[in-house]
Amino acid sequence: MKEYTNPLANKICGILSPLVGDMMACGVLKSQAIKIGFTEENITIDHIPALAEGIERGLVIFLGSGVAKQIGEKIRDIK
Amino acid sequence: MKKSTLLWYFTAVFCAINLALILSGIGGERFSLVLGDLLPVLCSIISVICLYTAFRSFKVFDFTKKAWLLILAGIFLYAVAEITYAILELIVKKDMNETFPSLADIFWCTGYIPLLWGMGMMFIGYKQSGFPLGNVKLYGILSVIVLILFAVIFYYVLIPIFQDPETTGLQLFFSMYYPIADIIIVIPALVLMYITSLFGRGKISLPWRYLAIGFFSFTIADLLYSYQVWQGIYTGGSLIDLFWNIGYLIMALAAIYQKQLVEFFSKGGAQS
Repeated sequence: MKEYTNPLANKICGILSPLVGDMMACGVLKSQAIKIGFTEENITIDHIPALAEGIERGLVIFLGSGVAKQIGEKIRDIK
Repeated sequence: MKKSTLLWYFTAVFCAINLALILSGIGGERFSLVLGDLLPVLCSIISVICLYTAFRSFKVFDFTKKAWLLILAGIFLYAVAEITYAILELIVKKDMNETFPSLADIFWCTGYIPLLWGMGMMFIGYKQSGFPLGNVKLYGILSVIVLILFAVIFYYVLIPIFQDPETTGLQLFFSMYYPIADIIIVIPALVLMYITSLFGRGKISLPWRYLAIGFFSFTIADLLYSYQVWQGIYTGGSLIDLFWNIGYLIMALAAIYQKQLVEFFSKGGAQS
């Protein structure tokens, strides 16, 4: 798994990697971070809710909204 | 033992026995015919049951559950077609080589509609998800592959069928319908296959990967079937049937993986 200097990015990737694979986890994080106007290395705790929402929306097509919401919650819980 | 592991064992043993029976020709023509009719019925029913359990595993009736419902509906229609075909050939004793199109063909052809719709929904859902779509150049290469495939099918299957003076009316319609529908369905299957390749070993992509492989197996079988029916050389219980059976079982595996995925995360799998 790619190592970020930002621990929040590492934690999000840690949740996503087993699900979507290392490469896609980094890709998802990058695209969602860009969407809210940042990079993975600049993510702060304030960005977590927006990132979680974007990732949750992306997971719906694979897991259904019920499970995607649970994973979104897991990301929201990151401190 | 996990259901997916069990189904893998079943698929492997089934394919080995099926292949051995086809190649050896044990039991003669009648046995091959019975086998050729009953095994697809068994495989399609397994597929329908597994797809139903996958559909049931989604808690919320959302976009995703609808897409799986459409795939279930398509495979259900295929199963009805398999059963109809077996009844016509084994019980009504119709010569199915002479009976084309039959009632079974109507179910098969109708089945394409929900299947295509369901796969289209998956692709649209993915596109809207904001997940990376991968290398745009590869979509260009995929388009070229589809165009080449279309040209080959058009030249070697569609034109000869269309020009055959003995193939007219409904026969012509159904003979053309299968290859065209297969080309259309192979497009989302190729796209799904490419998308799942982006996920590497991520478990989330397993169901889609197997769905795509299942559709490929169907496409190969359908194209060979259309060609052989038009040539009048198709016989039940041939190698083509094995591709259909594998297609059903691979789709059943896709459904089992989807169910396991949803259950794993519903039980807090993401926490571990």
